[in-house]
Amino acid sequence: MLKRVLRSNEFVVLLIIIALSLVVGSINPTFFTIASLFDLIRASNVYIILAFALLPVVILGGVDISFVAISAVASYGTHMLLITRGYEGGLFLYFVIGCLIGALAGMLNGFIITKFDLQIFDVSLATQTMWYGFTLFFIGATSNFDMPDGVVGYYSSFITQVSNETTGVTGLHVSIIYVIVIGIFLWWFLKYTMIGRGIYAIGGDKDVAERTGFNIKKITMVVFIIMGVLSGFAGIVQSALSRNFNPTLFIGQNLDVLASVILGGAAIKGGRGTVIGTVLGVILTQIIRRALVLTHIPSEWQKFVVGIILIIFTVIPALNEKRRKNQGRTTDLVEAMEEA
Amino acid sequence: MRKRLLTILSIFVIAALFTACSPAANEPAADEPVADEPAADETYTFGTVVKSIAFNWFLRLEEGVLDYAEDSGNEAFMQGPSQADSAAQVQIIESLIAQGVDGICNVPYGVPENEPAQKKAMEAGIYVVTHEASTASEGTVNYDVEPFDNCAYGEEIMIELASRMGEEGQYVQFVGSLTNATHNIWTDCALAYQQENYPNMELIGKFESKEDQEVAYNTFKDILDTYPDLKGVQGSAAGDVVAAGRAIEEAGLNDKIAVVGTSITSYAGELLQTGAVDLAMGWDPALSGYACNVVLEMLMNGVEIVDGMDLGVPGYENITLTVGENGAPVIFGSAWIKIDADNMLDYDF
Amino acid sequence: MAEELLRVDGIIKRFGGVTALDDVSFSINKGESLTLVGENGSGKSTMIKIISGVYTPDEGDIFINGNHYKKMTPIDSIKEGVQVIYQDFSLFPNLTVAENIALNDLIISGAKTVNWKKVHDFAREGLEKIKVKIPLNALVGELSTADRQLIAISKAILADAKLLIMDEPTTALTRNEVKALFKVVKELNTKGIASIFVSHKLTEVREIGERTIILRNGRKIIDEDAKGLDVKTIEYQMTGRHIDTSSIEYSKPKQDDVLMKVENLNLSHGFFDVSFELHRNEVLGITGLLGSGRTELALALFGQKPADSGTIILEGKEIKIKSIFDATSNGIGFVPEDRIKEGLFLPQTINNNIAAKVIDTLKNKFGLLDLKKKVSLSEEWIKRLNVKTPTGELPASSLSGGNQQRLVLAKWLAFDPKVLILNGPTVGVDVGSKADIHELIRKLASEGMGIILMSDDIPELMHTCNRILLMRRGRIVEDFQRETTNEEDLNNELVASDVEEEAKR
Repeated sequence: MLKRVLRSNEFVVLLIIIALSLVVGSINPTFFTIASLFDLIRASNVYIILAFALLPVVILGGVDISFVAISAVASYGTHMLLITRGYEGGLFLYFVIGCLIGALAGMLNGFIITKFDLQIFDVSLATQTMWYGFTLFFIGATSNFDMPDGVVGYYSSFITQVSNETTGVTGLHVSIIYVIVIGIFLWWFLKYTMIGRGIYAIGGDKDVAERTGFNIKKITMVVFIIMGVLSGFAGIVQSALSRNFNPTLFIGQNLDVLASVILGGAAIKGGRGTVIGTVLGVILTQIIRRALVLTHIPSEWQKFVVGIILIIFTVIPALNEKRRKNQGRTTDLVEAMEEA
Repeated sequence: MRKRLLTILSIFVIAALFTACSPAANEPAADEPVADEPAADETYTFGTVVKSIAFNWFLRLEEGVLDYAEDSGNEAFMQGPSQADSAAQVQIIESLIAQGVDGICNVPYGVPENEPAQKKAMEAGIYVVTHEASTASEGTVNYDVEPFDNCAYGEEIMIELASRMGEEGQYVQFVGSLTNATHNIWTDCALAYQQENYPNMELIGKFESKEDQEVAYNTFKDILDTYPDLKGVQGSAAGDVVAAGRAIEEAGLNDKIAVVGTSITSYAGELLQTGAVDLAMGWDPALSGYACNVVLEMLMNGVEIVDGMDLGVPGYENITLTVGENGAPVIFGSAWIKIDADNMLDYDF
Repeated sequence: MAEELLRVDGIIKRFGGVTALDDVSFSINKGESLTLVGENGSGKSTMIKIISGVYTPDEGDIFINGNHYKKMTPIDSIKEGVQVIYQDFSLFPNLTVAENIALNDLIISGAKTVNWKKVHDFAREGLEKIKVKIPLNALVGELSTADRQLIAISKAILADAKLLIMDEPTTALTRNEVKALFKVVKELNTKGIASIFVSHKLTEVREIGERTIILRNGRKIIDEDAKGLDVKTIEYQMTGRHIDTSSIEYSKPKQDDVLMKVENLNLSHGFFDVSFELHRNEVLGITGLLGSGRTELALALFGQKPADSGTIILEGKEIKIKSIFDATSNGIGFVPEDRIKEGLFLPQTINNNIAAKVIDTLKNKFGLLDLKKKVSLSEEWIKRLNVKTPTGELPASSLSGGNQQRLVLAKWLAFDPKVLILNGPTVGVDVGSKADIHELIRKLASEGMGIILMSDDIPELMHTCNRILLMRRGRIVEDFQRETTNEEDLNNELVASDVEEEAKR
């Protein structure tokens, strides 16, 4: 059991995170301050939620790129709807409406995919374009900076706060609570519900899953509703933190999120992926992003470094596979070797 | 793969920006005002056509057109499709030709797609001046009018930043993305100008905001942590200076760090007031619209346009006349606007 | 008299103009073990699909547990306790053993959530029923074929199987694993569960089946106790012709004419210190259980998994084999075990497949592919190897298994290798084709080629090889001359290594 844990992808990612942190911290000790940790958490939270949105899709065996556009339409749409009606309350109503819009948008993806038996990627390419276009044309083309009174102070809603002499007051942002709650729910859902297991089964072998009696259409639909709801939620959190609602929110960031999910050990072919791995994957990408700033490395390098790490992560499972094959089913040969 | 995806993605997104909605929902009616009023002896009729009337940006441009009409006594009006679409735009140009206007100021969505229609107008004896189309082909336009040369604009940002930094100390640059050509011209020309003129200033690096304020904000906090002696920030995307300003305000460093960059009042207004953002720069589409119509009038009156001339429009007092990359004559102004706490309400767009 | 479980009566099934099953009747009792044998196209698979409700017979009746069916759906069949284990086992490679076993039950029971403790208990019970031990937390994708098969069986048992149908269950298994499987099934028979094996391997037919049914061209030819049948009879009844294996002519290889010499070859995790000589005109068999290193050795000689150390001398010159390209450019050919995955371009035409290895030699003076030359070369090999196809322009996928195997051979023979390595050349090939391939191998050797045959099919080795090397735990442990050994000895030696291994565990 311990061996499994040590050989798991999550553990490898954790090791890399620790190693990288030690390197960054030794070059720039501010990395080890509480303030720095809080900043890291704050910067990661929204992307963890977005990665949670994408994770079930990846396990199912697909790649979706439209979730960022769903975030945009859900958050910007909700905001414009409420602000033009003079809403001055807090974020709760934003979440309710935003998640609803997200769910509907996700359902559209799911519907098109299951109805016409299409590839997830192809459909999402179309719906991403559509939702950004829809938002820009029908809702508005410029960022909106008006905040309801109940949302104004959100960016500094800290559970606990610390002050730092160079960057001032920072704290543990409340959005960590969403990450924990959503994370636990998603973990439970994927591990303990039949629909969750069905997602893994379909990702493992779709034909066998169908033969076994999983309702593939229903499961696909649920996956996309989850994606939509969490995307909408993440969009609202990000906008409230930014203190502006942006019709092109997250544009071009979908592949970064996908990269984090893959770094976290999810297989792009489907069938594999965990909540904890995804969290670690996002934290790793965020640390890499910060590491380059903190260690004075130009940001042009960031893409390059993330690319290299992704290559390594694509190669490692293949190497493992190869090693396993080389050993064949000849575990006793290893003993023979050792005897020799 | 990733790169290819990104490319495809960005193409789609850009396309989506303009094409996603139902086609030609709101064709420009041929019975717009002005048209049938026969040109009186000394009055001209100029039609301005824009990419789309759905954007605030072009509504601001229309203000300039209407200001011109009022100031000059000529007929000037603006039309545009309800969504950005070259085909719809061409139809509008053709209806303007049929109406027999004297000049057309066109802000083409797709530059090459609009060229045949512009040529047709010219053949019908109508003067054509374009805006945001310095790549137009020779013979498809009389002149193209641009508020400024991007490199000169970058240098101007540097001049403003340097003066606020006391011409010394470390600064950082933000771009929306490392692949955004315009943003990179601004920052690269600014850097070159700084190296030439302000030897005591030092660029720490160019950072990507991904056009996302929260990304810029988080990155900038790390920059503050890493470079405590930082004295200046140059922003490119409209949200860049806002994000940096927020972090600076939270750290109580409003007076220590200068923030200058492209932005507009609706984005940066609040922080301009508190001083976290020192100066927002940009250009005013109203002035572009105004200048475009002035050039049409000069053409009608047979005035020769020469380098260094004054168009009588703010920012166009000393124009530069060059030839664009595809042969069209291009008029550059120096019509950047500088928005600070004092004048921000003049530029409420 | 035992209680009757299933009876089919006068089953006729036609596909278009072809009669796949022609008036077939038989029955099976509770706890009985039946073997269904026949060449490809004899109607075996059709029969299975009728019993499992996938096909509806055109005429005839089905009785299960006394219930009469004219038309039977797959659901009916499952409800009556018929469980078919197909060759892909219907398992999820990315899920654990426990979950794979329990999933069916969870779905049928309409559960909404998963109780992992129950899943594990359920799976443990399932594995205990067939008395095997497989770690419940292992991922199925990391297990051997044999283990996956056992999991599939345990799934079927837990689904209350009364009749277990296994389609070619032993194809990918080693002898040892086959034995374990037979043991499991026999155990189930004693509990009243009937079993039908569909098989090609004649020795196994006799080992497991209490009763054997032979189908040929859609008709039932034989239905009797397997104990009374010998391999020759079964072969004859399957093919309708006598296959003579006794009068094999061996061209005696010249002992001094060494074609290839291998010295102290090593591959970590594969094999150790392997040395042997291959003579011209010789068919050299290499056998051993799966995991003995024989497959690795074959792959090393072909450069697919190059050896770490040691020398290979071909025609007196030392050669380095670091890649497949090295092997082919030195005149070494290889016919892989998995002909579909590794040997053929299935969607391509037969002609293209044959020409694939020699495409360079088919250039005309302009350096372009000479199509005429390609077709005539291909036609020659189609004829020589008796590949059954109306034309070489059909895709390779249109051929039956045996003919595909001939095509792989043709592809390599067109390339005219000095040494040809064959890895399990007749796996999954029916008896008739098998005999043809054996004859061809011997003919090629007599024409001067050196052939290395990797196989664990003892009769095959005895029919074709001059000499047989036995590998065990990565080493060559014995060298048999065909003249001085017999099937039984060889079998015992092979199994002895099994026993030894087991003792060590």
